[in-house]
Amino acid sequence: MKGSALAFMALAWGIILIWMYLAVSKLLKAGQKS
Amino acid sequence: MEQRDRWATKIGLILAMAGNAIGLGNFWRFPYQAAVNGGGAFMIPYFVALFLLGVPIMWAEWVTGRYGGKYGHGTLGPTFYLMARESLKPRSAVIFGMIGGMFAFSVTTLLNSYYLHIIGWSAAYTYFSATGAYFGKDSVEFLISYLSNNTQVFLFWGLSVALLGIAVAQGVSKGIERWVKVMMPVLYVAAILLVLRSLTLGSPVKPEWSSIKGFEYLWEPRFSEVTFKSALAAAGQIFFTLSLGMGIIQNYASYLGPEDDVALSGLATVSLNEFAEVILGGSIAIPIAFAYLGPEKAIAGGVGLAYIALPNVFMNMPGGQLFGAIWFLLLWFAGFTSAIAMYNYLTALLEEDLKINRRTGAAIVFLLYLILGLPVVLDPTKASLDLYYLTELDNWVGSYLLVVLGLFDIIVAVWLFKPDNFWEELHKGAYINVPGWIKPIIMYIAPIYTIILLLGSTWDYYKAGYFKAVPGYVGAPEYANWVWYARGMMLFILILGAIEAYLAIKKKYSEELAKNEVIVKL
Repeated sequence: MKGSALAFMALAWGIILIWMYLAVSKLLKAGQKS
Repeated sequence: MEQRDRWATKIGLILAMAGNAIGLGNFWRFPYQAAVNGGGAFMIPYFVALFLLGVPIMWAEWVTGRYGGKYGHGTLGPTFYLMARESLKPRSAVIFGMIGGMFAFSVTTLLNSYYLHIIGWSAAYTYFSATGAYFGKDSVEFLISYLSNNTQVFLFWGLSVALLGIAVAQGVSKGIERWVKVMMPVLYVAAILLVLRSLTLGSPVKPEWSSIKGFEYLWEPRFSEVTFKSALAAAGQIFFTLSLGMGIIQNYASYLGPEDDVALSGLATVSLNEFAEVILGGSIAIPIAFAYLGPEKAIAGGVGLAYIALPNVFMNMPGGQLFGAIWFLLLWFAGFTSAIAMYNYLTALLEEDLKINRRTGAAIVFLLYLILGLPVVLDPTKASLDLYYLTELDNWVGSYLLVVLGLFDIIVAVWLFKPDNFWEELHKGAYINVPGWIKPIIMYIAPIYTIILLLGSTWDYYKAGYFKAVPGYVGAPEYANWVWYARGMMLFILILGAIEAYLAIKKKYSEELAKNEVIVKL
């Protein structure tokens, strides 16, 4: 796989995975507190 | 005010909302759009549209839904009316209520009337894959023979609609929430299994064809292909994938408590949808098809990819029966968890506006969908897979109307409701503080972006001949009457939707309309 393709895929996947982790984990923690 | 049903758990709500957003388009539309609009470079306009258009409208819809739910409404007519009267007199606000109610009613009846058929096809193909029914056969001819067999079509379509009806009849917390708590994890596991299969295929046919090459084609940035047209395609994909402009996010959000978070929940829903679309959806259909069919046949979308290209692959793949069944089960569940939201919208409409109890309402909607879906079965152009009736509905109700309603979402929820009220509502019970610089994005950039998308789509439709008496896609003019049946149905449903919304508003707020001043205020 070409480096440029891998870089774009890693960037897009990274943004989504980090976003999902932050949003869902914070939501579940906040839900438990309330 | 009578007590409405509410989501029982936070995880149930988020899975239901994610299921609502995740649909067939995540798995068969996104990878094709990316492949033909710049590969990896497509992600630039895609993420721009996601942050400037998708997230703001998603928030607007969550805020709208929770606000309507506070007054006992889960449909858009009365909810838009209540928000619009913050700026307008009730008799003017009712116009916006009618517009919102009309579009949401049209989308949830007509879009679902053909979407349910595709869900039925997915159910059928799950069975056909598990039994190897299409193995060794021409996949185009097999699909045509299936569509021509009305008994089979009715069986799988009717079964899917009946299951939806059962889930909706059981209620929101005891029905929909329980169903999605099972279906959504299964959907994610099925998708992950297919991604693992995709990554381990190697080069089964030719050394230069492999799933990794498919990934490379999908992700290699081709900046020259990123144009205004691809930016429009990205914005359209965002609308479609997040189920915006349909009234169903608002309907689900109406079952929140008045102080329940919407800001972080909206973001979490979007992230789960994007995980299913970009990471899972982008790693299954096209890479798998690429390994077996090469670049010319693999770069496809929609029915052609799911029901024609991929069956050809599964019949040649080791374990093809199992993986074919998993693929179509994935489509079935993805479609089911979106269709259930549209089904619930209409059931809520009967329940709240006509005081019909939920079980009876769900049964009426079941019959309604069977009647509205009949033209898809009777359309003779299914024999050539042209499906004029379905195509015409999809072009207008399934694509164009979503953007129109999305624009009204912002006009009503942000501007007529007043930006400060919207901002306050967004932060009511919020688990996060949305930075102030995002407010101008929601107020100005999102509506301008939507208007540009709408104008661009209108121009594309004009060039494609969609406004003509016989649209540009019709290759057999002798069957153009099926296009007109679809247009007649759209007109009828739009008028019915507007009347229903007006009567629903009038029934509850007649005194306000008579005096033309706001009386009911919580």
